[in-house]
Amino acid sequence: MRTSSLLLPFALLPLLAVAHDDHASLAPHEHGVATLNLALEGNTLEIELESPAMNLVGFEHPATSEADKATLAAARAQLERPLELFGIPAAAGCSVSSLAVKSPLFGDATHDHDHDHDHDHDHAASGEHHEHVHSDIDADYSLACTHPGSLGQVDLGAFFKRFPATHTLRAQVIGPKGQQGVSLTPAEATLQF
Amino acid sequence: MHLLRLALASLNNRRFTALLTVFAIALSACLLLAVERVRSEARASFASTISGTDLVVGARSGAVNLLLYSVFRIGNATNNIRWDSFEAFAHHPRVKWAIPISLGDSHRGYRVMGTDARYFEHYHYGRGQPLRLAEGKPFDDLFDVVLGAEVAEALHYRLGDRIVLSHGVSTVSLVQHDDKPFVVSGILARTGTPVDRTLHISLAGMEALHVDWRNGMPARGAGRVSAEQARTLDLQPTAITAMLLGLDNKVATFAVQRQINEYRGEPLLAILPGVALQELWSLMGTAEQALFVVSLFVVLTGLIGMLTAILTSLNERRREMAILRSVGARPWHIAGLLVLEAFALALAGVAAGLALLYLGILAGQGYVQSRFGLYLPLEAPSAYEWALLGAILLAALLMGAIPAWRAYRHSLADGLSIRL
Repeated sequence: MRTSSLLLPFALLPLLAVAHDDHASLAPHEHGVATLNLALEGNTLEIELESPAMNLVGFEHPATSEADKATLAAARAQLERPLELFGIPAAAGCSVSSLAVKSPLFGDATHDHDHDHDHDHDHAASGEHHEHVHSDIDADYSLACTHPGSLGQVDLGAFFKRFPATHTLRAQVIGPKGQQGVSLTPAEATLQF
Repeated sequence: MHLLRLALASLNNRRFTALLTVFAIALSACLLLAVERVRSEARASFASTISGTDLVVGARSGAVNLLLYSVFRIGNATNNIRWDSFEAFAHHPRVKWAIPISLGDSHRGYRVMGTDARYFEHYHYGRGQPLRLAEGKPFDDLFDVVLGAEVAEALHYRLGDRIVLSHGVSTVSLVQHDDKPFVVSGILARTGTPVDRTLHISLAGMEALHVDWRNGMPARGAGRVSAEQARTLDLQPTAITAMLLGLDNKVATFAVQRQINEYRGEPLLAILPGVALQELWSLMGTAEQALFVVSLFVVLTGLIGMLTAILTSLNERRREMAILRSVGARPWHIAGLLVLEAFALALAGVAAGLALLYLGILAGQGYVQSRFGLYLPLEAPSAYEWALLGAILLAALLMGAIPAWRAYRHSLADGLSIRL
């Protein structure tokens, strides 16, 4: 009797393992902070934005009300215009060759991105039911630039203005001068390539 | 011009106090410059240690930690990574080259690194310079070792010397791998990076050292595997410490980084060395700033010492001032004299500080390089350093204005009415 109740948690372990099998990793999810990756090689500029949905639309639950749906659509429309959102200098002559804006909030049931951001915190150990689920919005862009040499600076002021709930962008930048890591804020929103 | 000559002559009259003041300013200026020099050189040498490597991969821990142990040989790995994981990513379609790294042994305080021929081919430092052998050739035999320039120089090793590696990385090691000595096959040219302080052996050699170890101890008696026996064994490593990856296209870096971080085989961490370095700077920034502020205050103390010396001298120099006034000097001449005096003191101090700095670098260069791996070049002051020195002179001029103002006022009131 005693032994069996002591063993009970171990009997449940396989269940937990199954429950978490689809989570390769629990990426950090910090409201107000988003990750921005930029890589420039040759004429190709790749931009990846990973942000908690809270920063961009102000909620992370599925949009049910009309107001929520409108906010979501507006944010999505904005994210699909990367040239102005990321302050890409016009002189660089960049045009979007491909883009993908993804989030579970958009209702892509077949969320086949190679990383699953619709993760939950690791409450399983305490056996609680998960009350809240965090959602991210990911945007991947590939730009072709005719004059990549003119990409000296990228000003993300417009991004902070459009999405004021974002207070920090952790940027990883790969450019002709090598790799750099920068923390961008509304006060210091310029990135040097 | 006359004023300057007068100021200098007057200073000469009080040369002991003046010399002490100059010395105080020199020491403080030297400290300020040294702090700045070490800061900028540390940054430059860290930044030039690795070049052309797109990703550094190790066991999952922190980005700074991984960078420090894999590239700078500072600290230790939290965990090893499996050879399968290395194989999986070395053959990744976007990966152009992969260098395995295995750490953990040492030789008289210098780290031993197990790697393979790809290291000599693909590892770059500075502005994309490859490693170059000053003498000999890369390791070929199982028990060959290639020395970094610093190791060879400090320990006086030459090609063909036999050396015994120690287990673990502490300077005083209790367990020696004395049954399997290594032969120096090559010595690398100096790079000014941690490579200089590293002994490079093949991964198989690293494996051979530990092939007969059981439970963290060398086997005894019949269990021992001699160096000759080890050659017949399968020495394929099962685990390494970290790997360096170069990609065929930099744009792929983030995608490969994500794939590695989400690798299901084992928890891995891939970092962009340039980004991790910046993270390190932001951690060190506070300490650097504290040092800088402290040295600024030391400069301020030196200048206040100068101010005190001039102010106390004012009283004993009323006669001097009176005479100057009587021979026709105007009050502003007296004021100018004092400002010039302060400036001359500070200028001498700054010049002596510079001389002191270069003497210090000349004397300490070798020690700092071997002890901390920091190369301090004897180069002319940077623009920023000139600006700092200029700021010291400006501060001295401003401070000189205080006694000047007092003398200006007093020379009017009691210039000639002084009772001697």
